[in-house]
Amino acid sequence: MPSIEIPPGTLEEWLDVLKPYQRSTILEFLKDASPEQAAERWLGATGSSNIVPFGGVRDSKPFWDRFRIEFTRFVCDDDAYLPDRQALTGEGPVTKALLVGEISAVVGAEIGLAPSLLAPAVVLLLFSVAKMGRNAYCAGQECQGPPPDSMAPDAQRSDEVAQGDQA
Amino acid sequence: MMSSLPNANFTQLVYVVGRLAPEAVEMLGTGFLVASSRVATTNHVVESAGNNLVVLLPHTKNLDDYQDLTDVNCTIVNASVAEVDPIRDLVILKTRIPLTVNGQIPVLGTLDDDSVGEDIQIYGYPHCVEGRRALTYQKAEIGAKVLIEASGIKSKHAVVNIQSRPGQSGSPVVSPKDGSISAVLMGAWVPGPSGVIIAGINPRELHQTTHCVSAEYLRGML
Repeated sequence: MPSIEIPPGTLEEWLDVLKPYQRSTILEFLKDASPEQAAERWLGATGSSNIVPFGGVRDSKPFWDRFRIEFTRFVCDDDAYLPDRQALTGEGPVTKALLVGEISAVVGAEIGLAPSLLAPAVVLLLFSVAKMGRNAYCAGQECQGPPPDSMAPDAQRSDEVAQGDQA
Repeated sequence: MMSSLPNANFTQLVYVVGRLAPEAVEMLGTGFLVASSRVATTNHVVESAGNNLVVLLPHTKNLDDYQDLTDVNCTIVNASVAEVDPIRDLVILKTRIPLTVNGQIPVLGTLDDDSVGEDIQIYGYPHCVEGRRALTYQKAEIGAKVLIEASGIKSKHAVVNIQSRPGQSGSPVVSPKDGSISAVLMGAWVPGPSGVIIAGINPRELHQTTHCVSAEYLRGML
């Protein structure tokens, strides 16, 4: 199975893949952070720590660690995500947008997070990989298996509207 | 007695956001329609995770009707997370089918157009996280306009002079002068460690300084 070819490009070209609200925040982070630090800061953001949220179920998942492990597997482990990688490489040259969308989707499904949350982090790490070269990047990473507490991918539901009981 | 209600029928625009559990729906907070198939709420309501998310369709057509709290039936529409802004703690959900309403969807405004002392209106589901589904209208005033920092980035917030409770996160804050949505309810100001919790309640949350983030940040997410 051929490895994924990371398209070359400047940081600005990679950031063009993002939506304006994502890009403006990432550019602000990059004023005093490396791309990897900016990616970690984005995934670690939870709004103001001084506002107690009035909804949801608090769950401080280690987003960054889980994301980083799966991203590294996708890029560096030729046996990981094989069907997804085959689908990507089987349709000609891989564009930045296509690669970012695919990695965000499959890694998001693996760790139970929305692809749109992951996309800025994927862009920043792919830029780093493209800049230093895949082999050099992967040599510096520890490829690990999925964490034991990883969440199951989204359950498949065929019904568009369903009747249910209120909690 | 309500006054100066905007023309939009918020009974059809404001929803409970929940997650489908094996035998029930876990209600997580409030959301509101911002475009066809798009519902806005706070990120902490859904925790950036789209699996098994649902929107509960409206159960009442008129706020003056008595909402039967013993009625646990609901109609749900599956939803997923379309956009996430973890800095402003906002998300846009995409529903699997369009949510149609009679009338106009309110414009997303900005706190720039509201002044301290002006009235605002809040529509939400306080206590829905405890199993209570009652669309509730509240009226209050803007007490302050502040910049709140998160991850090194400042965002526009309003301090609203009202006490809010779990379940109200994601409620639209409406400006009655033009019916636009000025802000999204976030939670209460509680700096530092939570301290003593009494019967599941943090006494430090019990005050009338509710924080709401400007709705302008939602525009770029649509």
